[in-house]
Amino acid sequence: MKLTAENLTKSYTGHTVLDIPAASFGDHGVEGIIGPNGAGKSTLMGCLTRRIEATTGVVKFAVDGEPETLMPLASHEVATRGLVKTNQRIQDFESLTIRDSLRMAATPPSKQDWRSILKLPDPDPKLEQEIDALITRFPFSDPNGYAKSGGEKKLLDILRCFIVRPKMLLMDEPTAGLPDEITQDVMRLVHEKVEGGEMTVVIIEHDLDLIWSNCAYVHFLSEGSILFEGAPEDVKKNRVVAEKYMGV
Amino acid sequence: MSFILDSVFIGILQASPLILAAMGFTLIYYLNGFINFGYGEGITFGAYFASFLNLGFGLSFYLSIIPAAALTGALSALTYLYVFRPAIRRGVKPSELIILSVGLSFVLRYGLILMVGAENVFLDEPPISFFTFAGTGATSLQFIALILVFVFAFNLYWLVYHTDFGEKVRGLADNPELAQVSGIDPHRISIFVWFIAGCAAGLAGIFQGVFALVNPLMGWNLILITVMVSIIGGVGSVRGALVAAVVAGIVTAAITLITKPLYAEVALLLAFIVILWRRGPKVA
Amino acid sequence: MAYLIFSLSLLLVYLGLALALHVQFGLLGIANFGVVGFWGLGMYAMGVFQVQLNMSFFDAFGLVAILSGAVSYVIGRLVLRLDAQATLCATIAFAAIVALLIVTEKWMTMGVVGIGTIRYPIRIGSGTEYLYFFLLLALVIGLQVLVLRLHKSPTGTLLRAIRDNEELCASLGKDTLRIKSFWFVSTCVAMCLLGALSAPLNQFLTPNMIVPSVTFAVWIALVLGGKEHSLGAMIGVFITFGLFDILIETYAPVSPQLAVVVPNLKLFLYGLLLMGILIYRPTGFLKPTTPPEEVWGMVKSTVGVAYAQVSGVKPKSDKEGET
Repeated sequence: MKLTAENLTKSYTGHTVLDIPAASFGDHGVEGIIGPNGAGKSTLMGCLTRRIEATTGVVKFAVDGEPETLMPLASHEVATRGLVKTNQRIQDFESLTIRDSLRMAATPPSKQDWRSILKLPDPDPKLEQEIDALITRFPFSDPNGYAKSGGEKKLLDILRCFIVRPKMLLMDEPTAGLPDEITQDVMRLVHEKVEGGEMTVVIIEHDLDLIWSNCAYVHFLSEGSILFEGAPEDVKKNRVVAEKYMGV
Repeated sequence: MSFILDSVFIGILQASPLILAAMGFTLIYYLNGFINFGYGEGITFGAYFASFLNLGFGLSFYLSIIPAAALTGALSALTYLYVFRPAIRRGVKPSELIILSVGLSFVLRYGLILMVGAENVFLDEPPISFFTFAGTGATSLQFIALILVFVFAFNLYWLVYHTDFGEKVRGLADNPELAQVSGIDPHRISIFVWFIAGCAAGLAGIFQGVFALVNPLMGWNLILITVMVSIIGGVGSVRGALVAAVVAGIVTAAITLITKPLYAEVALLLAFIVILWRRGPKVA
Repeated sequence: MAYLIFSLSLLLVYLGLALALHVQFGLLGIANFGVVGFWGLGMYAMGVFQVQLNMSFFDAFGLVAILSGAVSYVIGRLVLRLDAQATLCATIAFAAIVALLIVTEKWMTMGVVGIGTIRYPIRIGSGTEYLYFFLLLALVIGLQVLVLRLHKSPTGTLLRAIRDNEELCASLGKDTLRIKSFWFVSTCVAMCLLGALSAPLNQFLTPNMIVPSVTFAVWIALVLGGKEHSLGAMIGVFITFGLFDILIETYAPVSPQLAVVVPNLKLFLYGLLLMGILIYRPTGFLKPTTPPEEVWGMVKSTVGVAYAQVSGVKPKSDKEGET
């Protein structure tokens, strides 16, 4: 799994918020993106998943073989290629129960068209098992009902992304709004999936402890550009990172 | 060449009700962010208020203009106070507020029909003199309407763009929370805006009524094109609404000169759909 | 009796329209305010094909299906990316265009003179209207069953997800625009075909049938019954069309002077009802979460309470179902 960007820029009315000559994600299992507020981290993820139209540049994604350019694709097509992103802000389907929400996300299009009305498709036992496992693993106050609090919605958003089985998962501030023990468990799940070879993960976080203890490789983004990248120890020691971000 | 001149001339003369209606509509749309179909009934009621004063009390047409417009303004403010404000407070979404406004529009229209009947009413017109200007005829009434439209439009423009009040309205529309924190009373401003917008609708109805005739469907017939003009002019731009109304008037006049007036309506409606489509998701 | 059969047939047509609108607005969130445009297009196309081209009912019906599919597809392409307010305006404009063209294109539609007579598909003498009613009944029951099944199917869940948050749904790999387009086009075609089926009922078509109050009647029925509930359209149409149009207009003892007022009074009350519902009970009579199996019990108890009030106390105020 490899996601690359070349000459990727994004400007709003002449003001450039993102300018990345070259970047590559996916070689190190769990990677992190850090940087001060307004550095362009979320814009970068938006451009990579085609939810934000980049001003210039090319994004390519390779699962096993040849890299494929994502530029002509709509955002849903990017997701079907195996590149999925969790949301920084709370996003939910208000009228769907937790189970329906997960089921809806994981059901293939062939079981979601008009034919399913004439003949209701049989439930997929493997999928139901997976949903059960996720719902029992994480503490929802009403597992068979709706996600209630903001934290539950945030968690459900992350679980929905897991259940569509992406090849690469981008996580935009997964800890914001989540209790500490749930964050820990989400990270354990991330490592299970990564070590099982199911996916690679890229995390944007302000919680640096989480980055240092979970990521094998860290990209430092500031003022729209990647100023430094490397193993966590190298990033920690880097002078630029220290000056621009950690306020030393 | 004379075709273009004629179109411009007739277009501007006949567009005066639309100009008024579009400017008023835009104010509410700008402030509250939803399309108020009930606004069309303001047009109808303006014409009927004028007809009561004019035919019922024997007031001259010109004298009945201002009280009729003020009554419509009051009606508009009341609909805000007793229908839309409670709905907004209960968290009714903009798309549902439109449906609510369609409901209100039916209540007002058929309430009016129940009270006064659906027959056409003709206002008692003041004596009219004709003039010709550059080869095209116009009536004194059309000129007076045009002058009043310009006076009203200028005042409204000045109010929105050059006064303290206008600044508060714009602040409230752009960022309600910030505006409230900085001490703007949204309630009073809203009532006043709805009043002004209602006056504009009333005036539009009065002139539409005296140019043609008064009936309970006149507002509904005019509201669609008013909405169109307001959206095409740009959300919340009183200026844009003014320009778009004039252009719509001229286009209508031009098409009417070549073929049937109904084709002009079809053309405008088609143009409207295409413009919405071109603008994409974030329009209304 | 003939009038009652006509009214009941019309009620079925309205129910069909409300079911189609339920899928569009209740499930997908597409605010189609041009219902009368699609219905009128189908009805007039049936009239024009039969009268001007002398086609048989079935040939004309097939052609209406093709024509309406093409028109709906184009409208879908134009409106489905828009937000709810813009969609609403664009579809109203579409309906207005249909109504205007029916007046202007006299060579085809005969303009304000009207066009007729439109034949029934099958004629069996005096029983034709009854047979046709049962055909419509079977069709609309079929539509209702499809809607009930849609709610139970994974597709129904997907449509609700698109309504709730289209962008999120797309980010999970769902081709939301294509899905919306498919369901919008098929339900618009259903509206057009219901129009084509209404043509023989009306026999003679005039432009004043293509008025916004048709759209409005369908909307009020749906919003009143419960826009998101699979049975909301049916409950709503029974309350509005069944109660006002059939029970009151046909059976209530109204003097001739008053009879003229009734249609206007009806639209006035519809408006009032719609406002009341949007402000005080936005989900409508049936909440989205009410299981369909319980609806019959709710209806029975509501009717029981209403009946007890009417027979016990002097009916002073308007009926208000709930307790």
